[in-house]
Amino acid sequence: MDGVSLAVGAGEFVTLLGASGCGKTTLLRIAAGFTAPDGGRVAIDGADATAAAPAARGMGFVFQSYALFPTKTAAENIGFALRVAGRPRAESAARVREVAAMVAILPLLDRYPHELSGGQQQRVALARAIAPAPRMLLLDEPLAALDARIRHRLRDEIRALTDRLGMTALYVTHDQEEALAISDRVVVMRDGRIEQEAAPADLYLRPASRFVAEFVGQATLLEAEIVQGVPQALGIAWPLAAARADGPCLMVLRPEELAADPDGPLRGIVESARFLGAMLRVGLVLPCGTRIAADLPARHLRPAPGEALALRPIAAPALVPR
Amino acid sequence: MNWRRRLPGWLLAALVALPVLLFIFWPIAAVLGRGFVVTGPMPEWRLHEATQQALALLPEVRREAALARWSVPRNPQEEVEALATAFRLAGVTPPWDLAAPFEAQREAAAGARAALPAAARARLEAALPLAAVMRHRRVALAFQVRDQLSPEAFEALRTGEEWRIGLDHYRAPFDDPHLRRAALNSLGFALFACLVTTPIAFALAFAVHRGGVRWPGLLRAVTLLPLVAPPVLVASAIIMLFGRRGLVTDALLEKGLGLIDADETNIYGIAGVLLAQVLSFVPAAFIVLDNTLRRQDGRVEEAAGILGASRAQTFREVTLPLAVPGLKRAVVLVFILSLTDFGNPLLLAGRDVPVIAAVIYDEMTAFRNTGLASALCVLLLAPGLALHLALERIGRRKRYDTGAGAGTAPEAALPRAWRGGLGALALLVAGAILAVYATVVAGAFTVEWGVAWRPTFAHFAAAGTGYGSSERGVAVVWDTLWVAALAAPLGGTLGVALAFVIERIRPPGREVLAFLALLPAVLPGLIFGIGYILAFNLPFGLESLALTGTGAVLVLNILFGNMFVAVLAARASLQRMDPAIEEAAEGLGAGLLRRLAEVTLPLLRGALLLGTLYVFVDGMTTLSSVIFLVSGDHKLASVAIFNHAGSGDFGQAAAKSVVILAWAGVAMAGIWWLEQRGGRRLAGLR
Repeated sequence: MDGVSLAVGAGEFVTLLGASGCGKTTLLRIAAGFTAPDGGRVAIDGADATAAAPAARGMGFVFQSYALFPTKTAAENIGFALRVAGRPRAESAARVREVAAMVAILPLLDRYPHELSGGQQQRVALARAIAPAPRMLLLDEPLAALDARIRHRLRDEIRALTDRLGMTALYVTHDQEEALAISDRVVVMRDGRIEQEAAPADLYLRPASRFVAEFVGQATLLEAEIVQGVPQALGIAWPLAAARADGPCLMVLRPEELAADPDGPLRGIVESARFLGAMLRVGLVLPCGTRIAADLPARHLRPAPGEALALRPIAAPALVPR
Repeated sequence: MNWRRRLPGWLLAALVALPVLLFIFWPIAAVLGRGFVVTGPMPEWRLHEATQQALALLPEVRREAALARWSVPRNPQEEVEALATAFRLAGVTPPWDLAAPFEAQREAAAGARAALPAAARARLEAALPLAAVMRHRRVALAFQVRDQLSPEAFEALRTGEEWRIGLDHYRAPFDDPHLRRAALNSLGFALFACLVTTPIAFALAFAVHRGGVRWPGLLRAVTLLPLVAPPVLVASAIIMLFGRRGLVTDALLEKGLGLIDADETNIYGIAGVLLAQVLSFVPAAFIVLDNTLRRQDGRVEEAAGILGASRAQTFREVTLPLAVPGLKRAVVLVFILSLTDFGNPLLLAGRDVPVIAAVIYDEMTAFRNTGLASALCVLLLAPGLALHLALERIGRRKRYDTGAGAGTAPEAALPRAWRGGLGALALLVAGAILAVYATVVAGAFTVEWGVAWRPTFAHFAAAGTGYGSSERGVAVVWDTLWVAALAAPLGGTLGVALAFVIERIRPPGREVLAFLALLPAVLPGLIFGIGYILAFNLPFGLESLALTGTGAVLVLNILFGNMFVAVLAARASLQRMDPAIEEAAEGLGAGLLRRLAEVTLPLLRGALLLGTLYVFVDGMTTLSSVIFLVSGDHKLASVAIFNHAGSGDFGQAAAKSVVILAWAGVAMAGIWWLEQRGGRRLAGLR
């Protein structure tokens, strides 16, 4: 962790995105108070909380491994914080049912964790974290252990839940698609530093570095040069997104920024064609040997490998420093 | 299924199963059976029956003549005894004092005989000749009909003793006051040991896994040290420190500081046994609880913490309930270890505080009463089993799966007071263990502990002189080394082969095989030792096959008693390993032996090494199963140490212990080196 500074505004949903070992979980655990930082400070609502115990910070935490109490039922898990705080039994029972309803596990309250599926366990873990009405929810790769369909559904539910409760959330994931889909703001981390911090669309369309461009979304990176304000790559001039000083740079060519056009300037031989449903991902080898990828609507034309194909840029690719 | 393809596998299975049946199942079954066999005087009705049957074998003429001759009593004693028996056979209790002088009895009996009513009198007169023969002339009768009787029936008639199936031995602890006292003592020690040892071991494991001590690795190493300990190490050290000539009691407190009179102190007795047992069994309980806490997901405790639970609440609500299955296992383990421990009670309490395990030892070594010893061994299993079943019924039976986060400890430091308490306890236990080892090492180099404190190497002389000289000197350790070195690779190999058969060849009854291989681990060593005597003293009634008294019986006992480690380790490796690897080799044309040699065995190398090491170390240090199997020509160092310690010869005991420890260290270092060499190739499997 090196010189990281991060502020999360009230009601904001912020995601820490990065490969494993980049420090995103450590940052989250420092925020929760599980890990004591070697230096720096943690402030909540402007008050220093660096030395505060985890429970004193008013945060809810959802673990990747769920960390449910295996010896307690779902209801006992969810009601744990209320019981420890000495709330009246009737009040906490009502609250347990309230949050259980929010995450749709009302019929499962009497089950033990090992009697629940992974997705159900994570719902219980979520309910347990929000039951004491924390100011902020911290989620450490909560969906990593689930299969793809449940992951997508639960991801949308988590976001809907924080919106409904107006809860601030700090979310850790290594899945860039998940980060883009769920967040107000994504913080890309690398080797203990923050690489870029931006709204999902900005991150995708205007990556600040080669690392972010490669990490977020699909892209072909091309060596480019800006000559008199116009990006030149692969021997043609490209549309310009934002003005930039002349000089060498890298072009981040997304597959959807190309379209088939018999008169297109980028001519080559189809090397591969993968049918993805809505799209056909085409790998094209240009005469200069460069390979580029393009997503073409699969309904109209399906070039086979070995055929000639011409493409044309239809949007301005992002440019990052070399 | 192609039988040619399966045949080599079945052959291997048979080859492995046979020794398991012969050297594990048979001895244990022999112990189970032997406890029901009662030898002793026949009851009167059986004697009557046998005499009558033998008489019937005589031709009628000779029978009449013999009865007439034999029914004349030779002296008053015979007359009275025959009359008393005839009274009982006639259904009348002899109405005179059977303890009175025979002359007086004779007159009383005559009176009683005359006073009987007519019917009873007739029955008495009819029974009298037979009563006389069965009481006093059975030997003569036996020889007259010897040719018509089986050897057993002849012996039974001659001696008036027979064997039968009965529960006498099993009832003994309930009937005999001495055994009853021993049983209660055993249960008392066992309860105390498990109630004190388990919490200590749990606190140590908690300290290791939750940052209660500064050097958790060191604490774990020291706590586990006594697993590699020669027998009665702890008891010896306790006597050497706190006995009447002890370093602390005599040399320091009495002679040094003048505080006490060491002759007045008494470590012998209940307190000494309790101390020795707790210290001896902490490592075993620690292993169980160390594993339990290692598997716990520390994130669960963090979850409790962020939800507002205090450290104490987290401990009570999360850590402890999760550890309950492990705690139950540790309690049962220590309970059984204490019940079957005879070394500590014999050394520290002697016969004043009898315990069942020590009674078994005495019944075997002093009285050769194998029947009672076998029954007591079996009975010794009952309380442990009962405790296990009782604990299983309490609470839910589930072994909790704490999921993906297993093995991560929470980062937050424990409260200062907790760390202080755990640190003090760790210091106390680790200090005690280190003191035990230091004392024994010091004793090995001391002329005579408690009397002459000069340093010496004399105890390391190869051969000894004086009392018990055949066991004195460290030469007996070399014999032990040979036995262990022979048993170790055989046990390791057989264990791995058995695991392979169970996991890959999968013959019917494989679960039974696996269970049998584990039995010696669960059963007290005493049973396994007695079983070897019963099974191999006269195998199949053939003296030429007798194994007792040979060195081979020691090798076999150690081999099969400790083979289970190799089996468990190899099964675990095989279960982790994809069977498709072997199928691939088979698909490429490799036969069973080639597959084993080139594909499977290299992957089981770790299990083989671990299994071999375990057999070796346990073979060097084990006492309970081999103590009945040593003989004049074939001694073991562990038994010698036990005998030395029993006779107060701590120099000899300590010297042998030190040599054994050194060899165990060498073996472990050697195995470690071998593992390192094969490390890179197998790194992917860890």
